[in-house]
Amino acid sequence: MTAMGTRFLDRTRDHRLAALLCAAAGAAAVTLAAVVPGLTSSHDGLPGTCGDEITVAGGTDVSLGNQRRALVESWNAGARGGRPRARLVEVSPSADLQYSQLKAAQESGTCAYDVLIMDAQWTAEFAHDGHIQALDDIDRRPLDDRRDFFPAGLAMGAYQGRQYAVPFNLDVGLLYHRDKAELPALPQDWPGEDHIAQLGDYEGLTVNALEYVWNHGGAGLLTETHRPSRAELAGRVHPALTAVARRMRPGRPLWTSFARGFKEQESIDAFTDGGDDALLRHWPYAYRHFANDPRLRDDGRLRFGVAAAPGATVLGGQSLAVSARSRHAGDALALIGYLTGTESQRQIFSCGGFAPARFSAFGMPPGVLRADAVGTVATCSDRARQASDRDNAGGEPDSVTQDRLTELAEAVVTALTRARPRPVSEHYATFTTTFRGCARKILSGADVPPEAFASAVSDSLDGKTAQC
Amino acid sequence: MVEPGDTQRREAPPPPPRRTTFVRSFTVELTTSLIVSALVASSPLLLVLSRNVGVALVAWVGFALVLLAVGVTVLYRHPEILRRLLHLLPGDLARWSWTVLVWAAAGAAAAGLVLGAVAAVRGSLSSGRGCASPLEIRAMTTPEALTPLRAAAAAFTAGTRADGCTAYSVTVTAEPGATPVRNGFARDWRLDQTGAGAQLLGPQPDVWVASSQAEYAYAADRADLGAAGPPPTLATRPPPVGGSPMVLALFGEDDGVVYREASRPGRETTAELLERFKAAGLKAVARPIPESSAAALAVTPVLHTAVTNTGLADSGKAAERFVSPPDLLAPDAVALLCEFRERASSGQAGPPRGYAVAVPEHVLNDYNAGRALGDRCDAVDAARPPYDRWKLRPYYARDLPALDYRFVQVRWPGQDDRERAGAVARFRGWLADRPLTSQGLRDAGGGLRPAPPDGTVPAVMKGPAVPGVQDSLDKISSVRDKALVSVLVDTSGSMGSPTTTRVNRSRLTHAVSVLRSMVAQLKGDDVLGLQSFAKVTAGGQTAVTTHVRGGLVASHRGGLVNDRLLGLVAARPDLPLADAITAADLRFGVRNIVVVTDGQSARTNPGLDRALDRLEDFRERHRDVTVTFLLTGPSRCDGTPVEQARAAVGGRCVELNGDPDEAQAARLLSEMR
Repeated sequence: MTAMGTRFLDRTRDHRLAALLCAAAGAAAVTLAAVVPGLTSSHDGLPGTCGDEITVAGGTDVSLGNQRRALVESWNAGARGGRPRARLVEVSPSADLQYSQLKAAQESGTCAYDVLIMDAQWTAEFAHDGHIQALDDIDRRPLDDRRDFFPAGLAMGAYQGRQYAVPFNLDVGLLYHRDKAELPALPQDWPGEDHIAQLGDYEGLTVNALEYVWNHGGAGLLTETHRPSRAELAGRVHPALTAVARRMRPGRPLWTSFARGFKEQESIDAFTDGGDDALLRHWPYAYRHFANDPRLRDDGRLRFGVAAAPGATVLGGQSLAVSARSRHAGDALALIGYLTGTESQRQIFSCGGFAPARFSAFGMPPGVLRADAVGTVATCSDRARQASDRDNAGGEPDSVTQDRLTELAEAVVTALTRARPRPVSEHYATFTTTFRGCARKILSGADVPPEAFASAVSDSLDGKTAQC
Repeated sequence: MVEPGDTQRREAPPPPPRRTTFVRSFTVELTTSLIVSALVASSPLLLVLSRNVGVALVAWVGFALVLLAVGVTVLYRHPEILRRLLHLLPGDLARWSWTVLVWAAAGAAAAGLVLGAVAAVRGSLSSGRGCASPLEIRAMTTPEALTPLRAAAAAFTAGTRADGCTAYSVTVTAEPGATPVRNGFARDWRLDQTGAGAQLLGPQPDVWVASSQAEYAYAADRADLGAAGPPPTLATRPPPVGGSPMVLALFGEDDGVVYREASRPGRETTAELLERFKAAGLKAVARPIPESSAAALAVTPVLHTAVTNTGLADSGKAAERFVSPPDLLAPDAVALLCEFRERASSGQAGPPRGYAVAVPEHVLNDYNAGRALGDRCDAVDAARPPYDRWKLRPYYARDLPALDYRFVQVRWPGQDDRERAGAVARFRGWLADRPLTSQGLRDAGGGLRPAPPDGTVPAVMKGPAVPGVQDSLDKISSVRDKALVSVLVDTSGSMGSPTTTRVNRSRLTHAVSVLRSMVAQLKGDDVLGLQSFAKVTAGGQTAVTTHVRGGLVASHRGGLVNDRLLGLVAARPDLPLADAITAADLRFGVRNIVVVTDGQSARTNPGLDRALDRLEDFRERHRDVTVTFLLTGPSRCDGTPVEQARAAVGGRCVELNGDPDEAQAARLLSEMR
């Protein structure tokens, strides 16, 4: 034993408490060094923009006639009562860029946004990461008329049994057909080699590929919260995509949709420029687009029709949620109530071209989801005449008449009965990238082993990036 | 001085063997200190395992208070302990330092062990649950650098992945031009005000990869800008991440005439190159629109000088027209090159003869290799027909500027949290180690990696720095003719119907988007006014409403017009075109009237003959005024009543299409200057 060791021993034995305190101090120093940086934040909460207004953040208002802006203006003009004014911040027309801005802003903890306009498939991730509030945390009965919402639409705003978002508008896949087109009779008849679809490398491919899976042997898989096993992915999902890949014939519309990377505009153009037997899968908003195109009109008669697809279709749309950092949560919820109210929903359908989320917007009694229950649907011109502030009786006859709007509403309701949500996962962004990449390979005819496909898709549902 | 404990040592029984004493004492003290250290260190467990910082903080404070209470109680009941502690200080502190250090280190080590164990347990638990959500990084760069930056971002997210989980997600967007970026930084990233709020320029970038030091300096200079809200902080001295010289390029047949094996690339001036290009019958140099492309802005001054010096144009104004061929106007270099791909795929016989293009070298390489070009067009097989005939050969000049991409960290007030700053710093470090040279850009010395195989591409090419952005803008303004424009927008109900050329747009929003691009391309001494027209159906309405009276754009009129354009609403029946045109605001020497309409119909233009007489009379009274009908569709220029009205008033008719808004606006303006 050295002299130094002896002195250390003596002092420790004589001053045990002091030694103990020294050890505790060392431990505390290390602990604080590890913990304190995580507790401090350099941001200041954006005081300048966390004002008294309710800020609604979402994509650029692309509805016809800017109906979202009109609704916010209407709230400010008097519908708000004594509540604060609202302000609509439009980030971008691109869903990917909207997601980027909203996610980054919420991650940073800013209080700049009170209401988020979100694509339905983001709900799980935003709720899981604490970016949005459960509505019953704000109000014990946040939706006193929840029976008036289409159940599937309402379910898109729920996560782990709690309601986080309220549907603003819905999207369901519809079939647009020219006069001589033959509509598919059975789910597995869709898609045929002459059908036009959105098969470019974007979310539209995920949507179409999921519909192919559900209608070709994979019913009930990759939807809602059910997590498919690897065996199911390899044995039912992969063969479904392979079956559709066999329908790709060079030069035919389905192949062209894939080879030329059709997105929404390109598929609309292909339908408009196509022959009398053209058939297209698209969202409800495309109806007004076609109805106003002179190439698809003949002395007031429309040279196309719309119908629900025979099988399962993807349910999409946008929802409204309250930011977890909102300083006006109660008022934000009241604004959401206004934006999703019956009159607002009628306006976004009749004037904006988007499918509503409520039975009452279609004149239907709550809970009766049948096409024959659709009631009278007023045109935008009718609505404008009723509300004297907006005279839309216009320069040319409104091509979307009451009968046509009703036909569209019936197709939407029929499609809603068959609609399924995309997978409810907090890792949806990873899933869609992976699934899309794999589907592209399979549809191109490349040899993708079922096991590799199952492994990649399964991993992506855990948030792990993978490739086929 | 008597050391504490000396007295006790004299009174104590003989000590046991030293080795045994040491071991026993050490064991006891170490065990005790480990327990205390573990208790101290275990408190963060609450924090680490909890997602709620507030709850964890309360638990931490509570634990600390309990410890404090216990300590105070012990010292109160045993004051001798406190006395002994006080005896230690300060005279004996030096002699005690060794002991203190050893025990403090032992405690720190124990805490480290506990924390490490907690982290390991947490990692194990999370690996079973799936990945945490990756942190979103918003990045922005020029349209020309989208492809290389996206490739680098993908490598970054893949390279920082652990156990298959990505830590970061990087979304890269295209900047709208040097001036909109500068204005955006000063105005809370707002593009425009709307009646209900504001439109942003896109996601607020955490990272901005500017095309040059000059573009960065322009954005960082906030002089003459009215700020709205606290501006973001731009990092100073942004590091370079890659460079790319601007080049002139020719299609194959023209190149066959011009190419000389003996010439060494990069030794000539731009004027000397253009002299050689004359042999191929050079008709124009296609340069992107400088207001929306920083690369085009950078190359414009030297192009003007060279075009004038070689006699291809006899004035600065003619030089600007020479580099703005109307059929090849594009908002940026990738859009310009995608236009060629589009023409190739549409079956056009071959590339146009007599045109050179001015683009960054790396974009040209991507084009020739058939790679995707930003957001504008997908990859193609460039080695096969029809694309193989559309390849462009680059020509280098020693006075053409080189883009010098810079990594700029942007910190937004309220979103400037530590995690975001750390993620951006990590991305910056990644790019510092792996600059964009693997994506076809050159290093800081102008070197290309790997070195080009033949002599047509210089291995080292470091052009002059990009000139100041404001200087370039001033030069362009000085050579452009003045535009005196009054805009008349049809806001009848039918303008709210969808367009036939753009998905998710009404006729009005399509027109407004193009008009806003036009406003962005106006210069300060241009004159602009805005009116709208629709039939009166109730009291208090006007048929033709003046939103902004004609006046100089410099006096913030451009921003005002943009805001008013966004506030237009489609409603009410058609007002006949003749009524609108004859009520146009012609003050301030307006020489151009732009009538934006969907074409209306014969039904809503009753008494057309009388209306045409009025238009002919208007033409006689305003011989210096040109009327341009800008049609949103679905009516065409040959439809009634537009065709008759155009003939009567002697104007022009332009149909909007699916081309980029900036290109359509530039074409419109070029006809009005």
